Amino acid sequence: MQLAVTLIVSLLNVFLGYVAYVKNPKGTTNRLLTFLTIQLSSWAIANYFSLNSNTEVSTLFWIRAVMLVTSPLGPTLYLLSLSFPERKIRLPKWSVVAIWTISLVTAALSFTPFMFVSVKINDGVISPTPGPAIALYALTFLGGLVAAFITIIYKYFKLKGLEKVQIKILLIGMILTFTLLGFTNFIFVVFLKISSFVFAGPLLTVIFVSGVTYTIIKHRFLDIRLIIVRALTYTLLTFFIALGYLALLFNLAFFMGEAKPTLATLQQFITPTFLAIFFVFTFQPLRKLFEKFTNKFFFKDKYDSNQVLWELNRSMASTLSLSELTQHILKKMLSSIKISYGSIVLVRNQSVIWVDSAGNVRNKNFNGRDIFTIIHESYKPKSRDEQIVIFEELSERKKDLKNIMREHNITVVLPLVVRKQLIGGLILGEKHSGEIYSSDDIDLLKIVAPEVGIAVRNALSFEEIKHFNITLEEEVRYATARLKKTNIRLKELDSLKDEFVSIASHELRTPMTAIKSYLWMALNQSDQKIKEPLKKYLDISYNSTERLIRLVNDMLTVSRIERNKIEINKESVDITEIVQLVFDELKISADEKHITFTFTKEEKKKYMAKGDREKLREVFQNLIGNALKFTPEKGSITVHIGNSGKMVTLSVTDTGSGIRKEEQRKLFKKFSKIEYSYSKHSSQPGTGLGLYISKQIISLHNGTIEVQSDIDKGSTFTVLLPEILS
Amino acid sequence: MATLTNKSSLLIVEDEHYLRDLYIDIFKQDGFEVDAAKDGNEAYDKISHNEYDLILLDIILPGMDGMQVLDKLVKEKKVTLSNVVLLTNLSQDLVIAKALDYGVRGYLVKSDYTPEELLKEARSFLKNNHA
Repeated sequence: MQLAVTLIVSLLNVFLGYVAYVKNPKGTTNRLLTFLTIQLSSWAIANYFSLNSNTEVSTLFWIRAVMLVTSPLGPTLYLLSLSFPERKIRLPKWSVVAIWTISLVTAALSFTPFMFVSVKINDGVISPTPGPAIALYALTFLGGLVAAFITIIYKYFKLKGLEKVQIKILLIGMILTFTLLGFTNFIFVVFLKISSFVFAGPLLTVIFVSGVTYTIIKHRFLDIRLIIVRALTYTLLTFFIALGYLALLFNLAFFMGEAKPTLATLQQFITPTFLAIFFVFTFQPLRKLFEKFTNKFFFKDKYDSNQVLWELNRSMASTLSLSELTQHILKKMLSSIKISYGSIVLVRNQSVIWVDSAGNVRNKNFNGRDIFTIIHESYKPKSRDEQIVIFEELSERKKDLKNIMREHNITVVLPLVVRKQLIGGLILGEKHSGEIYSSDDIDLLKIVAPEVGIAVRNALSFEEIKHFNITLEEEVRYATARLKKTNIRLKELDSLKDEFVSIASHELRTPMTAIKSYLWMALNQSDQKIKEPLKKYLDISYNSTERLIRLVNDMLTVSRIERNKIEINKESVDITEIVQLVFDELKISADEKHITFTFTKEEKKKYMAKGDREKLREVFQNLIGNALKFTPEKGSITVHIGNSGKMVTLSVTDTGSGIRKEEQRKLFKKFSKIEYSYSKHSSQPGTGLGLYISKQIISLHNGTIEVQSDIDKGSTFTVLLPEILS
Repeated sequence: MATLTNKSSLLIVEDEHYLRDLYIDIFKQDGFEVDAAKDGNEAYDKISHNEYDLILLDIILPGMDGMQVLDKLVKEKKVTLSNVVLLTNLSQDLVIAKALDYGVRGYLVKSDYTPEELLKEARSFLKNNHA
């Protein structure tokens, strides 16, 4: 019985050490753990023999062997406690060397009389006599043990989250194991001289080993669960098959032993055959059955990755709304992988632009800077490594990232990358079970992350376009409203302007009317004959008043034109008739200046156009009047009417001084006056608005007005109006 | 004037007294029976109580303005406005259009007419009236 327990314990220890080593042969923690398990299993065996030897010599040998293999136990434990969870020892190199040297010295002293002088067996009671070196052993063993305890307790209070749970279990295992061990194998032996409980020592390590194993299974201490699971499945299988063939062999031997085959022996032959066939056919179903059983125990949260992927893809395709999309993704992930909480974060230009969370969001103070650091740190733009950060696997060098993750209970961060550009991240908390993410979980996340990235980016773009549209609509609405307001205001201003122009002109005209009327009375209704030069003075005054009145009238007309308020009453008019009227009216003035004044037209021919009789008359009066004004005495003016194509043409040709090219262009503008001609003919100055008004009126008749002029020869003004056939 | 068999009655509504006096003089000289009003209220009273062959109505007037006089007359339907000619220096298109809609005979810009031309216009209105 003692042997069986010893064997199981040592095998379990070796197995544990082996898997730890296989998992990561270079990891300090793993190496130390392997070393520890070797010591423990060696100890169990040595201890068994020390207690079950027949002679005092061999008992002494095995006791000394126990001392040898247990000498480095304390230091190993201490270094192991130091290496967790950072996975390396943070001690100066010389102190590590010193620790190992002391262990080595102690181990070397084990096989000398300095450790144990002799052993006496009296009636099965083993009483060893300790030597002076036992003090050194005690120092090494207990010192290492105490240091390990202190370190673990210190770390227990310092660590958080999953690491705290792991270290807690280690601590409990160590306390239980080594306290009891201290009593059974040291205090009892050395101080009380009782060795009866020594055999229990190695067995107590089962507690510690169980603790470590439990940590591994439940909290993935060294991430070797999968190895254990497979090993267990196949152990069970092998055991079952072995059992089956044992039965087969037994039956076979029985059959061979029988000389005479009977019906009974035939039946015995059939049984193993059927058994063999049964095992062959049940191998796969059994394997599955065992796997199912083990999965149920180790992976009770197992899910179908393909199903989850399919559902995620479907929900990603089903919506374009960013918030809906992120909630869909998060909820699906949290429920499938059974994660406590998750966030999708979007970043742009060094800042976080979107955070959406689901699940049990514990830390509400999760600030933008921390989020950004996490996302940014998790992305390795130049690395070909997988873009995922898992807290437990994070190197201690990434201290900032690790601290933030620890503080906010973040276990996994996946950067979301689209076209080599970091757009955000997927932040996931602990699993509900407290377990670490399995490789299946990680694989699923790695597959999902790029798709989530693209879906989220598309949704974001859509959202931004939508927002842009809304903003644009608002802008347009606002601008339209403003335009409407401005339009109303402009209309008000327009009517105010109209009113102002009207009132101003009225106020100007009223005194001018009085001046004009009284001057007229003085000139025409006076009882006395007015003599020169008084008459001349009064004439000039009268003409100037007339000019002022014309100016006001012209300005009113311009104002009307510019406000599009001028009304053209279009009717069919005979242009010849209107021109004839104007011609006759001005004939007297022309005669006074001895100007050859002629009107040439085809006899009895009418030139019809659609137009405003009164306004056209004004235009013709202006043109012929101008010619009269600028033609010197004894010059000539020819008014001609004809047609050119579908246009009626009226031209007024004078023998005035002509207009220079550069001045011709200015002629039809407001207040344009030709300096040269003005000074020469200032007796009849115009308002500077006549040609401008004429051009506007002709334009309103869909016609044109042109000038052709040569200096010192004269000018021709031509009006073209669309002809209508009478 | 030879063209007028009876003396035609005329009401001049003009607030500017220089012009009012001048117009009264020339029309009297020309043989009109001339009455005058210096503001809108007086004009309204006179138009309501008397009959005139021709009324020369200014628009910008103290108190009631020319348009208000017309409004009131139209609303009370006391008189037809076919004997009214606007004689004003105001060139506000809307106002003039409205007055013409009321049925006034014509619109003359004061500053464009010498006294003689004004007499000529008045006579032509009367002539058309009787025709």
